[in-house]
Amino acid sequence: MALRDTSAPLPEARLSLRMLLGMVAAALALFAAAYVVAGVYGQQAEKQAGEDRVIAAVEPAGAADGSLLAKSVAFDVKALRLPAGRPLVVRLQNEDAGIFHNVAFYRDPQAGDLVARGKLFDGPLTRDYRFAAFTPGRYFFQCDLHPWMNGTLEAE
Amino acid sequence: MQLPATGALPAAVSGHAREAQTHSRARGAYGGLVVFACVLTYFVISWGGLVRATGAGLACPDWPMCNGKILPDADTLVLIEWGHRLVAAILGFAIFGTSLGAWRWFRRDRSVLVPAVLASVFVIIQIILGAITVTADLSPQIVSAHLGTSMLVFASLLVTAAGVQGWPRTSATLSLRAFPVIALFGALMTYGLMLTGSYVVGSGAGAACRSWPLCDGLPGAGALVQVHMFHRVAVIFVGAVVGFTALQAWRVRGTQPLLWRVALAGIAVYLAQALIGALNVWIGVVPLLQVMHLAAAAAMWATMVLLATLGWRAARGGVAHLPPAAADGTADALSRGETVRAYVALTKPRIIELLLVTTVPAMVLAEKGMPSLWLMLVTIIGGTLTAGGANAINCYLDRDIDSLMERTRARPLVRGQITPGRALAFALTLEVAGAALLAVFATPLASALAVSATLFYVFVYTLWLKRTSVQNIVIGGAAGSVPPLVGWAAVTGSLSWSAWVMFAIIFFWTPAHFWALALKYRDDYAHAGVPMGPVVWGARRTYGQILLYTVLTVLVTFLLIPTGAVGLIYTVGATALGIAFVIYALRLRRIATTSAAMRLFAYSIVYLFLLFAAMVLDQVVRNLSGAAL
Repeated sequence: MALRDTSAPLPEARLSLRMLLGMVAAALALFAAAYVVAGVYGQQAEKQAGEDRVIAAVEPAGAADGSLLAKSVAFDVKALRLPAGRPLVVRLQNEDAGIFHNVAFYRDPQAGDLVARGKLFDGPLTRDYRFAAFTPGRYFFQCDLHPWMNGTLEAE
Repeated sequence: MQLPATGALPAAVSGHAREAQTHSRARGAYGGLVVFACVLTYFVISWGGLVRATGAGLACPDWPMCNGKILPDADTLVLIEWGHRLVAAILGFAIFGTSLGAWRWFRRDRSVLVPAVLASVFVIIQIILGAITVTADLSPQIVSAHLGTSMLVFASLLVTAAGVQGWPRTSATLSLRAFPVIALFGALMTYGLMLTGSYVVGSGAGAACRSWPLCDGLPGAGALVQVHMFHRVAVIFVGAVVGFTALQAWRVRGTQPLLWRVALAGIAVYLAQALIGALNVWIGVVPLLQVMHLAAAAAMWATMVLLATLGWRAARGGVAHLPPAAADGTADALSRGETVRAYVALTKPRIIELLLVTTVPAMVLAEKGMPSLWLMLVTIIGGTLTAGGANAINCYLDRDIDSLMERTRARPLVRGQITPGRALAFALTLEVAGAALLAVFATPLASALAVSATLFYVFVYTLWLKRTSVQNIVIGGAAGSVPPLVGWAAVTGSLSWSAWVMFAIIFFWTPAHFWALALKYRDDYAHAGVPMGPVVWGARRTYGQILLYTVLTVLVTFLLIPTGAVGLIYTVGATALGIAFVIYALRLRRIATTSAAMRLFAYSIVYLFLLFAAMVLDQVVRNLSGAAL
């Protein structure tokens, strides 16, 4: 039989409130320490941004050459067609609250050969990327955090 | 519990004893319910991971309906999300039942009552959060809160289960006074770690680090890299606490074996979890890995909560007044190996074998070649789980007549190796897991067919026809004939004539096969009052019926030929096997002995196996020759 009669009161070994608060404080301290240590890696990634063609996400001003809408972790379009040979303004409208997105362009669909990478930002927010001129041809874009958010760019 | 012969006792005493027995039976079933609720919670949490990993959460943009309807369209994402809600709703009722049962049977035991009531409170919070989760477009904070609350529900149920089951069931008081505190701290840290993990997923930081164990951060993604590494550094801290807890458990392993076993499980899950986390980075964030990562996290959480709970209970010496295990029935006297064997026996593995033999050939015919290994594996495991669940439910329901029959007297429930409540919880768990596996990784139709077979087997066969009709095995056999349909549906997502012919082959084969066995156990069935053919008709007429169904089976096997699904090899094979089958049936009618019946029974198994093997061979050879041309 699975059950025993446990309905009789048991001798108590009590958990005091002070003990519990102490534990929570200790846990929070450990997590805070972890967060600080993790910040070192974050700074490294930011430093690398300067050397790795990361395009800043700036306040939108005027019309954009092309735009993408990120909603429910998906882009609204699979294909962009933009002029080649002159700098481009690509607008990213991120409607996912608290979720980071970006747009990065690659020469290959495997996203190995980077052309330029837009900086990540979390929604809901709309930002412009000012990319340098593309040479005519076919490119691939994606959100680096959600690679299934992708498509093609025809620069002509 | 064995009652003494009531005639020898004063009426009042026997009445009291009966009441006590009813009471203890109800509590036994309640113990099963609590364990079932724990298992189902684990399952719903893992499924929630799937909802999140596949992005199905927004497939139903409204709440509580789905796209304005109660029943959604058969779109897979919608199905994943809707299934999560449906099973969660069932679970909700199980948890409310847990709270009510605690109120009914454990009102004076606060170690059960408090967590059982808390479970319902958390469920109510969870329902509200669930609604907000969807209507607030899944912001990561809300999603994390949803996960965090589900873990609290899970923990409450685990603590309740430990109380109801009287774990850790040892009379020794824990000698390490600090252990419960350390274990509780470990659980607290694990909880925090899960929240950081949830935030990693929610914010999209999973892809921010491109290497493991150190971080090759995505340039410019500083904030996300920090979130990601926050989780990894915290993993190290939690690992230290978990390791230390396990070390303490190891020190008391002699007097607290359960504590040590749970701690060992915790270490194993921790290591597996680290590997899954690494794979997430190496392979990329794919849904399957995400689901595994969450499932392992929930398991990790469960072990830590159990360690803390068992630690507190053992430290209080709260179980010392309980009777020693040996005096408590045979269930506890079993070794681990025996217990596992008893549970496996509950699923009637021999019957499952037969079911699987028919599933794979159906898949091969449906695919017109070899289906992917993954799909076959998923379908076989899913089919085994659902069939095993159905068989275990049958064991649960039939335990009264099983105890009256020689042939089934050794079944685990009859021998008291497993309590009925646990058997039912086990059965339902298998069933739900199998159905989910099929629905998610095969096709929803395959899952629906497998579940309907179980329902038919349980309600139509076991509960209704088996005890009332001589046609029990004929009609009930339909349940056992479903596996080819499941296999076919797993591949194509639909059914065809060929699938139905395979269904019919097994349908007509079953009576011939089973009556041969029933001839041998005729007295048994008569004793239990089960109206099997040989009992009602007598042997002579049964021989005729067996012959009739044998001929019908063989005729039906030829129906597969005009569907174009099979070729020459099958035609020749089915003819030869069929002739032999009919000869066995004729021979039984002529000699009329039990040994002839058993020979027919043995051949019927070989027949079915070879017939379906011929289908596979036929397909493989045609593919090979087709490739050669």
